Amino acid sequence: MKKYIAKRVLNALFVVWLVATVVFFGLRAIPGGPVRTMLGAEATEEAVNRMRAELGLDQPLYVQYVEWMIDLMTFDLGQSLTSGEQISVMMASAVPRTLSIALIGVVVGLGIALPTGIISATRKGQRSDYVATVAAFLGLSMPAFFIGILLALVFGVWWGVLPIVGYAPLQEDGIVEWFRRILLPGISVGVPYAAVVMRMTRSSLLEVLDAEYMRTAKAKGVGRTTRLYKHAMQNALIPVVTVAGIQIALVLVGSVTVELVFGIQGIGRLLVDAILDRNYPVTQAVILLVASIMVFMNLSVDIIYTFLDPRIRYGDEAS
Amino acid sequence: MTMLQIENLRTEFETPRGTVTAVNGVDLHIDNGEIVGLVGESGSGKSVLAQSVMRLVEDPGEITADELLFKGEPLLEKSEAEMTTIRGNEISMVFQDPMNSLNPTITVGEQIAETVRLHQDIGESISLPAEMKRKIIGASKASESWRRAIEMLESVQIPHPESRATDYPHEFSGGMRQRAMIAIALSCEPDLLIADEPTTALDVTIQAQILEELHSILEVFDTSILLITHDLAVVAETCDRVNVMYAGEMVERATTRELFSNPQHPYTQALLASTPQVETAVEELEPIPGTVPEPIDIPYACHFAPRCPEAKEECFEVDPAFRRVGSEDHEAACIRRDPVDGEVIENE
Amino acid sequence: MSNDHTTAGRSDSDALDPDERERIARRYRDESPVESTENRGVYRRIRDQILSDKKAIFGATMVLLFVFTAMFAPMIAPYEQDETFGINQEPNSYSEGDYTGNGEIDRVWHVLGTDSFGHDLFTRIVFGARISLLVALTTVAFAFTVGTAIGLIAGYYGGLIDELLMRYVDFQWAFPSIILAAGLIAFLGGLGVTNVVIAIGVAFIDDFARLVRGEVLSIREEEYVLAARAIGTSDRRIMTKEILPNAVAPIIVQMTLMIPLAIIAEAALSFLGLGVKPTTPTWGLLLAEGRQYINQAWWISVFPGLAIMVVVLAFNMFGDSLRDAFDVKQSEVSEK
Repeated sequence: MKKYIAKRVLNALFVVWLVATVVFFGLRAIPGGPVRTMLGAEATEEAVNRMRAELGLDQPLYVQYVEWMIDLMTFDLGQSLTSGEQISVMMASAVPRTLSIALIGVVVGLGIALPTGIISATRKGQRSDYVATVAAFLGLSMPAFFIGILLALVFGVWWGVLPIVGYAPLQEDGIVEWFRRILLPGISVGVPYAAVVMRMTRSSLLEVLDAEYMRTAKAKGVGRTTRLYKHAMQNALIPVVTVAGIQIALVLVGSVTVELVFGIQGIGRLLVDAILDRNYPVTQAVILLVASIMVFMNLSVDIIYTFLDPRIRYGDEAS
Repeated sequence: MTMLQIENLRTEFETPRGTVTAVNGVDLHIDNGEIVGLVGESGSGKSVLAQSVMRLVEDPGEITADELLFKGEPLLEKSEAEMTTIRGNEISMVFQDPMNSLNPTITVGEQIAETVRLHQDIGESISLPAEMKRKIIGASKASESWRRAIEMLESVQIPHPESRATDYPHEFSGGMRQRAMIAIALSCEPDLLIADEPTTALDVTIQAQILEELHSILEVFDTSILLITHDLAVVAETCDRVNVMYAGEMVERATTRELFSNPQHPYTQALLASTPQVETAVEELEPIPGTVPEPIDIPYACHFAPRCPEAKEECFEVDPAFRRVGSEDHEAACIRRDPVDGEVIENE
Repeated sequence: MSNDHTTAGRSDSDALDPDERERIARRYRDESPVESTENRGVYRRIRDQILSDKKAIFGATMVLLFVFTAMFAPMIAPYEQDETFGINQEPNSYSEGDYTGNGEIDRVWHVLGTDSFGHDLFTRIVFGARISLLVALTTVAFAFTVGTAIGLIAGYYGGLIDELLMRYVDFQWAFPSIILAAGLIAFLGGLGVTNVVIAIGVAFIDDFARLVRGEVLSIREEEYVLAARAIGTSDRRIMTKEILPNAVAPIIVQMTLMIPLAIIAEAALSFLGLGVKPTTPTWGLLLAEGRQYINQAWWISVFPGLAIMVVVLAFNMFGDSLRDAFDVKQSEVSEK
């Protein structure tokens, strides 16, 4: 098992390194070079050279690469071109906002998806299954930012019960205000996530309930509830964990757009502004961060697997 | 005394394509301490029959019978809760596929211990929280049920049962998994064991060992066995009496010796001709032409008629009733056989 | 098959001969509706299954309606896409003014209201369908072409090529598609339909590559492929003539399910301001605009949002029933 986890960690680190390298070379492969693109065609040669020196682009490629790697390892992401602010400082303010939205999204999503999926599967073909399946289809078909706008309209504009602009940091404004500000964005990203996870839970549990070992359990005289939770659930959760982990991407992407709906300065906002301003250092930092989060999520899924599936836990993937 | 008495059992499934009558009015009885064989090709409904006895048939399956008596008690009138106390306790079952019949996320020991806890009064809680706790942090190795589990593994000849009990099914070989299944089935000393193709998925040497195992069980636990198989050799070696099933219906029944020496129903004859036999080194095996019909509204009377070398037009039209065709208990459902005593047994 | 043996030595002088028996059996069989369904072709079975699925009918109808709207947008839309009237008009209201330039006051009906520029919302949504459909089809076609090529080559040749290509696919997996598309927009430097198509198309490559590779790996070992190789058929021919046709069903399903994702991705990019140019009528831009005027004009965001929802729902439902119908492996097992 240790060997398996070590292998996964190494693989994750490799992918992060690869992403960093691609971002590094990709930036330098922009036609005409990033500086020229940033400053525009009419910039003077002098201004371009000064900017190149500032960014360290006048050095040989391998020197730049090594420095970039060292900077990354020390979490020195450079400075914003527009404000001159340290990117790590900007991140420190943006990341908690995005993660707050994502956290609520995942909690809401799993909170809806797992019970609904279980009910739907155990009552297959009945009315509740039908309602849940249709609801999942609707959830799957609404982009997070549209759900956000609908929620803002209903709870903010029409009923006026929740604020629809801005964020309240947890440490400064306390948990209640934080939660009031984060609830609607969280639900917005949570609904499509819930739909995906619910569909997976339903189909996975249906498959497990049909498995031969479930018949064995029934033939042994195990009662219905114990069969469901003791015998079926763990097996059914194995594919659900994969989907729930991978689809964190859906939550992250959702929060990028939802941040714009609710005027929250998270990494999505940071990324969009950076792209529109051609602020390359910030763009690359955000992309690298999101990719690292994805890799980390993948790693977590692999590790949770080892607890759910004894076949992996004992390093016997073959059988 | 009769252990199991079945009369006119029907199991039907409502499907979009029509009603599937998997078991179509079957009679069967098993006496105390008997090993009874149930033979037929795949698709003949023998597994559904077995599952109907334990009421394991899932929706949309519908079981009806004139009589389904276990130790004189009507099983179809029991509540689901009552059935739960019977399953695994008084009647238990071994399934065909040992690879998929054990839960991959529960240790083998716990899968046996659980059965013991459910049915034997050993003072261990079987509430859901208690069971979930056992599942998550593992069962107590000091408990009575665990001790019984190890004892059972030992009795089915699993080497090093103490350490093997903590293994997961994927760490067992196919033969060992089937032994573990047998251990689960026997852990509460059932009165009736239903073994559904217990050796089909195993290789020949393991098959022999498992059959040996079944024989010794009978002596130790005084259990009746219903052995379901398509393998006539297994029947010949193991069973006291044999029932032959075809497309949801019983076609012939006799003692093992009688059936093999004097098969009467054309299907049984064809089945025997298609099976290699060591004693009578046949040069050529005769496969049965055609396939078992799908059991959806079979429109002709004798289900075997379209494949039968002796069929005549009447066979398609007249329901074949059982008739005595040989010594004492030998009966076949074929209108082409004249009853020995001139009497046709009415069924249905 | 020989039927001339009698196992137990009984006389069967009055038994039917095999042909006669077969004839009688067939007579019975023909009366049974069940047997006849077995002889139906695969395509008919798929067609029947789709036709009997309400989900599929609804999906297909809405998809057709959407395609029709996009194709005939200028005829369906009541006004020109850039025509402006009174701003932020409510649904089912009228603008009054001289819009035709003939000196007379016109009364113009807005079924869904107008946006903050005074565009008729229904007109903008109808023209928005064009961008959605255009972007969705081209991105999926692009991702399909590149992804299928990668998957075919990786799966067929295996070894180092497979290793390299799949490393790339794994690598792409680390990027949520919108983030990757946004990064590509930054790289391509600028807004516009072409850049959106490239960005989203690239972001979807991995899905096709992984699917096709998986299919190829399982088909590669099939006997007909081995046979083709044994008689010296060229690799390219085996890939395009033998393997690809057999992977068609999952690819079709995948494409149907990728189109709604592409529609959402385009809307999201436009919503973020990273998509098409700001004057283009698209659903995503309308939503962004509607968010700004959420206090004054809810309709600007709600109707385009509903348009996205209905179209995506339609494709999802249709794709879902296609998947059920095409699930060839499962039906093969149950047919036997």
